[in-house]
Amino acid sequence: MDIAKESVYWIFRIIIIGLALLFVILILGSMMDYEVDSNDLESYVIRNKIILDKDCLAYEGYRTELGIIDANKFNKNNIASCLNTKKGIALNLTYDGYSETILINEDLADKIDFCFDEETFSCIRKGYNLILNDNLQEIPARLIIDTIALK
Amino acid sequence: MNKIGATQKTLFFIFFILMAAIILYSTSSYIQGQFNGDEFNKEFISRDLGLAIDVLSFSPESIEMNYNLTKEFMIESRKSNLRIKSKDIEIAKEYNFISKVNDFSIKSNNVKIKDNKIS
Repeated sequence: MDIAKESVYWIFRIIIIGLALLFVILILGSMMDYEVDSNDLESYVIRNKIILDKDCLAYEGYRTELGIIDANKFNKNNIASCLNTKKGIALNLTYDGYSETILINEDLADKIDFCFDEETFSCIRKGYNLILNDNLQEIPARLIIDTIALK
Repeated sequence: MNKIGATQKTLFFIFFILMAAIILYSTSSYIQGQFNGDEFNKEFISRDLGLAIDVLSFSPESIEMNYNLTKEFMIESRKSNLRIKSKDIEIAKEYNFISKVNDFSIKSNNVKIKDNKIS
């Protein structure tokens, strides 16, 4: 048998062995299927980072004030740069009769109306009563944070 | 068969033996990892340690954490992406940091984090 014929023979044999191994791995993989679901925890960390991190919304005076957010930091660029996430995030800030909404990762964040589809989307909504510091003026405010992720 | 043909055949055979060895090694280590819980450990550690580093990164005060592992792991961060491996040649389990975390690379069973410095 010449080299060319032998090459084809071996390549064919390797493909068959590879497919068999893949099949075994897939069967074993499905038998030992495990999942570490940290979606709720990641959402919790994101929400707390938004409120408590001075790089996000937390007001920084003499020190970082917990529970006080800075009105000057409530803009899309600032929040997008302080977070590194693929989740969609919708922030709604209500104060003094005004309401502002910011969407981060808009492709997902604007799918909030589809959250009823629990098999496709994982959505978590939490509301926080906070103090909004607007140029040293302190105003009671409510911040609602939605995190939206694909399952 | 002439001498050149015999040499080619030997090289060909060696090549396939090497290929088979690599495939067998990677498959057996993957299956072994699935059975002894290594893959699950790596998945869990990547999420657990990643979230812990994320939480510490936005602490308003100085905070120190010692994260002990049951055995030695290779832990590295590149472009805010945490990668956990137990051997050089294997697929790492990954976690994307929510915060911006500096690049680091350590091989240890203990991770120390102090003032956003990881060692």
